[in-house]
Amino acid sequence: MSAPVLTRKICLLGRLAVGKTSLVRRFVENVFDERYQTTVGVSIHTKTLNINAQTIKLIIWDIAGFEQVAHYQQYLRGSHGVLWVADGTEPASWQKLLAIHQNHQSIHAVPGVCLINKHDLLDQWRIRNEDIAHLQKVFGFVLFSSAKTGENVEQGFTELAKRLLKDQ
Amino acid sequence: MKLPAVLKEYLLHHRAQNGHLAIAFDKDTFETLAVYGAPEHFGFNDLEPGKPVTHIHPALETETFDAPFQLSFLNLKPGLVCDLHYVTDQQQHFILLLDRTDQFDVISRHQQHSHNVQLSNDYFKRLIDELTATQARLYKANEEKAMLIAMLSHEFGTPLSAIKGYAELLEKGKIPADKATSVIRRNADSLVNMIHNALQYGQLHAGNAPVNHESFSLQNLLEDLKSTLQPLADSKGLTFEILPISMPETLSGDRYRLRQILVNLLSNAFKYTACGQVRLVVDGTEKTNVTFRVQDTGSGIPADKIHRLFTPWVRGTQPQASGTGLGLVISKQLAESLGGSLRMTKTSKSGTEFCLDVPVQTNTDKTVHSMRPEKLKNKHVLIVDDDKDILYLCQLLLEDLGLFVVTAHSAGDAAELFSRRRFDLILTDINLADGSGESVLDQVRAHSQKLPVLAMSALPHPKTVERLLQRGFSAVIPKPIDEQTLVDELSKIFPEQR
Repeated sequence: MSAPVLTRKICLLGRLAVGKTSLVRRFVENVFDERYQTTVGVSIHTKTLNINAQTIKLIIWDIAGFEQVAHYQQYLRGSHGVLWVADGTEPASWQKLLAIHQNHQSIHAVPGVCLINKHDLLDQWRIRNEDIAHLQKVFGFVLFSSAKTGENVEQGFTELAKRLLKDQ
Repeated sequence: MKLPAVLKEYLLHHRAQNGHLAIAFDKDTFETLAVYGAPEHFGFNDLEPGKPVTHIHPALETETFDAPFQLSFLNLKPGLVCDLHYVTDQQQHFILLLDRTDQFDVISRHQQHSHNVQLSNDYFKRLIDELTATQARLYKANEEKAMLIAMLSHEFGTPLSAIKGYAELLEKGKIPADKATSVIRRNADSLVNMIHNALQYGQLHAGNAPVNHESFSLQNLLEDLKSTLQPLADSKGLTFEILPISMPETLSGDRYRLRQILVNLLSNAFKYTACGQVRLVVDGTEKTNVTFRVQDTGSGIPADKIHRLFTPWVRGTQPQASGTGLGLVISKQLAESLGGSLRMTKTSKSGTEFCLDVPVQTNTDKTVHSMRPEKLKNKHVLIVDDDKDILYLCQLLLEDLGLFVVTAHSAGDAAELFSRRRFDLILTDINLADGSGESVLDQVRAHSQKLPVLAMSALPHPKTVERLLQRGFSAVIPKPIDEQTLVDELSKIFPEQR
């Protein structure tokens, strides 16, 4: 008899234009669009992964950038994991991420993975080693990713899924 | 079907102009109990009692329905956005969908515009940050440059005054020639040293100063230091000694850089020591590195100056302090370029010690020896320079080495001479009034591919040297011409016959 499917809700959190929607589209549909299209509200996708003979269905909540005050509270409720997304070319993005983390004690308990996105734009890369070390300390696991090239996108989501399986 | 009262009241507060759908369900089994409104408007044509309500959207798959909630602007499917509400009066449970597509479109347009503006602002802020940082760097560089020019103008004044004054005394026959030339020579050396230091600091600062790699005798280097600096010690009545401890025979690396560091440190020690001794202890006990300790019995470094020892353009405040304030900075940079380190290890009113550590690289490369001048005898050389004084100086230097010298004041004269006579070597200035040294090189190469052509250039930048060598010059001799450098280059061009 096959093992039951574990269904888990994960939320992508981060400042506007860090590439949350692009990461989801790369992960779910394996496509990338250069144009910036803002997300309003929430867009929900699903993807099922098989990890070590266990099946996990991820309900991926792609939440609009954290610019509207407290609009996101309703979406975070009941979340099992968080994919924290920063943009390595924009210092405001990891500052925002740290502020979100600090202001939301309720999600500290759930597993998280941090992606520092846009790693394809190395000529504009501005995040310093000390910033990365700090994010590592706060979020526990950090990867450089690129929704454009696909670098570490699958790995990021899979790592979070592994942590969810461990956490069940 | 009649809408339950709880929903009626709820809808009064949450108007949906384009349509709504309410689904009553069993909270324990999630089974649909009843459907109100327009399921086909939301694409749920087959929604009927008995089916799980969680199937209408993945957002509900992990829901526990433990409290009423609302999800705004849920993208239900392309072109359809709704608000999803969980409404309950504890007895009955409903999922209510309200079409918000129109509102979503308006908000979406506004938000896209607002985000685009914000992203543009971010971009301009980054640009401004970069421009500000660049401006600060340029401002600092400009300040350093201005400080350098002011400092050099000031520092050049002293030796130039001495040179001019003693030359005039010599012309008038009011001073013995040996006395005048000694002063003139010393001040000219000082000038050259200042220029060299300033240029070298710039090159080291930019990280483009070349490093030589060769094996050399440490004993020879120490003997050279002793003979070079002993007169300085004698002139001040100081004792100068070099104490070797377990010293390796040869070292591999850049002997010129090592020599320069030691000369800088020892010169400083002599400068700031009024009586007593200056000592160089060379310790090779540790097989991996050699330690050079420069010790003096001077008055020490004031406590408030120690932290600025290795800061450019800062020099001692003692009366005997002079120069560019770059010596220690350059020495430290040179030590680091050799893979070593330089630090002040102690200072007090009874003396100071600087410690230079350089790694030992065992290397069996052939030691470079200077050619004996005898081997140059009878070589025919053409010197090209439009400055009569330099031309005459070069002539005297090369004739002293035993060469036959012919001189030319221009590229044109050189071409004419070259067409009539045979030469073993051409030595040409790079900047000539009627052309360049490169045009002389071209004229020579038109006749001979092998004839050595040496370029002379005033303290050339390493990139210039590299370009000239690539262009075809056999070597580049820096001006002012140092006899030993010239002999070394000529020894490479005319190797000893065995």
